Amino acid sequence: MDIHTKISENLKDQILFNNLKNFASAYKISRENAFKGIDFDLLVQDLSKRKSRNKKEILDLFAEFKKNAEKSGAKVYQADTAEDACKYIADVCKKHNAKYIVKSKSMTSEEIKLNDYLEKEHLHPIETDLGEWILQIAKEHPSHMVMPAIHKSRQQVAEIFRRYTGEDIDDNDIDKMVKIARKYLRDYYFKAEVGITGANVAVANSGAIAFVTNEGNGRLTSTVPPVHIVLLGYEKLVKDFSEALKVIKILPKAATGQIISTYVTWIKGQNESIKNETGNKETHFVFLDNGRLGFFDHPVLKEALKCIRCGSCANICPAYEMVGGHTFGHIYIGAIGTILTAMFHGDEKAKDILKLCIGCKACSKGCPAGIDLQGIIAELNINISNKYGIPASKKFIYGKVISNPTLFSLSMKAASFFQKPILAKDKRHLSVSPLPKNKDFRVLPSVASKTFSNSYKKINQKIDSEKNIFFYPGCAVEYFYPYMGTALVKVLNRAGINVNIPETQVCCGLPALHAGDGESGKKTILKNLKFMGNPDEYDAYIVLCPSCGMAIKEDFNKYTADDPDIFKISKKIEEKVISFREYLQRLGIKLKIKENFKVTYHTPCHQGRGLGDSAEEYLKSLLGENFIQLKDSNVCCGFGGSYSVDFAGISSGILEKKISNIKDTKADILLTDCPGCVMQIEGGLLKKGENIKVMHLSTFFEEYLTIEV
Amino acid sequence: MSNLTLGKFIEMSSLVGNKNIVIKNSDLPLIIEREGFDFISLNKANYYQDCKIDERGIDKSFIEASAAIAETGTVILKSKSEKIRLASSLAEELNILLYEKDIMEKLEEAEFILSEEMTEDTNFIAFITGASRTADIERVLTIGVHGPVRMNIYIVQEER
Repeated sequence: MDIHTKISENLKDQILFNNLKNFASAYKISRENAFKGIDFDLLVQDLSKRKSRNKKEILDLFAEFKKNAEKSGAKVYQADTAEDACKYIADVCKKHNAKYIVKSKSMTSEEIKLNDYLEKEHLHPIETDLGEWILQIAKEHPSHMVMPAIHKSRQQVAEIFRRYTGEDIDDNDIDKMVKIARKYLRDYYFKAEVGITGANVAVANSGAIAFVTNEGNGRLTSTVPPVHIVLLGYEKLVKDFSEALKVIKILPKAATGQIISTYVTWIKGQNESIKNETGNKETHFVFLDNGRLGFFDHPVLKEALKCIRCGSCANICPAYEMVGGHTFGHIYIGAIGTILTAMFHGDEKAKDILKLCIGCKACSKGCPAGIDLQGIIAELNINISNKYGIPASKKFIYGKVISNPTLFSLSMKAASFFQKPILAKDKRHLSVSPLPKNKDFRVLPSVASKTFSNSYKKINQKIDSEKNIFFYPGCAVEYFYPYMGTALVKVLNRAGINVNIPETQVCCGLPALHAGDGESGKKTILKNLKFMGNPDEYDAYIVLCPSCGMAIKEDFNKYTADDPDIFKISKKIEEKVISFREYLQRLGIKLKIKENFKVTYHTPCHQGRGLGDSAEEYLKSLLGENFIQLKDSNVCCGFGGSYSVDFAGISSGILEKKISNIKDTKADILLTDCPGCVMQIEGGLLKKGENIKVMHLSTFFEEYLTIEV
Repeated sequence: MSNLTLGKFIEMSSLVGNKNIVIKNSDLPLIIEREGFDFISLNKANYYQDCKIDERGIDKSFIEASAAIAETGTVILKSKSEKIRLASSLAEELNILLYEKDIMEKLEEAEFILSEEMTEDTNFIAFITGASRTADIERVLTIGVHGPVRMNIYIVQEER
């Protein structure tokens, strides 16, 4: 099924929608509680540093683990491929004439499709984790790494169990469903000849492993049968118990917002086993390569091997929340899933799902192992686009139009002319959307009749001050929202500051980069730097679009790194990039509100997580009681540039939730500081006929605040 | 060992639904007589009682914890003996005997226990924080999916 068909199926699935929405909002609260009193950033830094290992280092740890494990009597096997691992495990099972094999949840076993392999060999693997068992009976796959059956409702589970057991089960009696699982699975532990578990850590200096479960199925799986096979990737190796405990401490907090998993089981060697004729358990450790070992030396992808499989990157992903893990992932799901898919299952399987990232960076910010997931996805998108190509129309726009300021400006001028018949009364919006019906979920802004650069020329700045700043308007302000730019000039002039702008306005390059077109992105960035002035002459480089700000801060340096002269300038500019509000704050300019109304604020992704902080605190102190906190203020609005057209269904779904939260505040004005968010949220509110004004901070400051001297 | 650590342990242990009962050492015989445990393994007090454990499970086990972690409400069971593993996994009600002096403050402190215990060639250490639970169906917390349905912790307070 093609990805767009899958997405539209998902978007129609009300059960999936409710389950994921409820989980996302409950998760945030539990997670915050679980991390209370803990310096999360410090913990992340520490774990990330410890888990930063190259191939040689990980193989050294492995050798140490192997030595210790073998000394304790266990067998250690290195499987090169998925097939190799499956075969080894099947052979052990056959050697013991195993009919049944109990399994405790292991994503690594999903990665190698172990169950399929064992079944083909006429062996019977039984999943003992409740969620996994439900899916095994239903012949489905997990849609979440920690809560595999999160896409199922209680009614669906009741039906699956009724069919499987023939018992009468009430649709709402979850307790009974759990009791049924207990009854059926209890027997299997005792019938099984082999138990298979994964491991959350493998402690090199001891030869011990640990795994966590809440159900206690891991303990039974590793205790009752006479043989225990542990399947794990090399990335689970840690140096010692100190490092192991760091993983155990942070994992459940990030995964489900639990302080600790109910059971943490530490096992070394071949423990006592009544069912084994030797009196001791036979223990096997199967270390899976499947491409991992090479990636430990990869400059970018090695980061992904720090993953501790908590699933938090799915829990906080707004796009995952709309479509679930059967679409947003292959076997591994969520942001890390798209990356691991590229690594373990190939880019053919990864290329479409990597595009589902909206670029909001929530995953990178919340990753307990400090993986910049969004950054890696962006990088992979560029590599994969180089290989598979990007649509010709996009290539033309990014490579030929946007990177060429004269042509881009002319095209926009033409658009402003041709849109005349469909201009709305306010002239700032279109009365009819040029997009097809299934992408038409918001009122679009019109192309302004005069660009910001042209309006700027008319402003007489008459400032004696020596203080100069450079304002980079970006395409949105230049072509759609020039009034946001002129508002900035006016406020800064009132504060006695001169505003300079680029002689020629060039796109920041982010749209091309986000679409995976690295070549056009680079071309655009290099052209841009020609018009960015001499950084020594300006106090700051101010942006009204945090996405542009972020591109200047991150991508300009990256794409100029091969030219030392240009890099030097780029670096200096980067250090001076700041949002308008932060600049006013830095200067200590005191503002006072003129009128009395209720205001709320949406934190743009690239402001909060890109440039580094939200205007929330500032607005709270400025507006006092008139400021109303917006629920999930820092969650994406669904814009994501061309994402909102490519994946309009997901984008509008995310926007729906944002709008519902905004309406709950009963505020008169929604403030934000990103023209993209304005486009999305204002467009959505207008389409629904909601009477809530949406303003960029710059226009709000200009209209409603006075500068106190 | 301070009252604060004990208080924190009880707070966190209660949070996961455990019943925490503070007792004196001299209360033990009475508790054992009253509760009628199927399986008992108390090293310090030197009480042992064995029973058959199969797929039908048992009603009540009473096992001594070698340590506990206050900040997480966790008890630590040395489970090298298979019987301890079965009795703690397959009892409907898991009862734990914990000496107040064995409660540590932080999870990190367990490193010493693990490092020391795992110098042996073979070992099995269980951290247990509450009864067996799942939230796999619509995230509704349900207790007793595989293991114990109830967990009680008898904490022997030191004479002050």
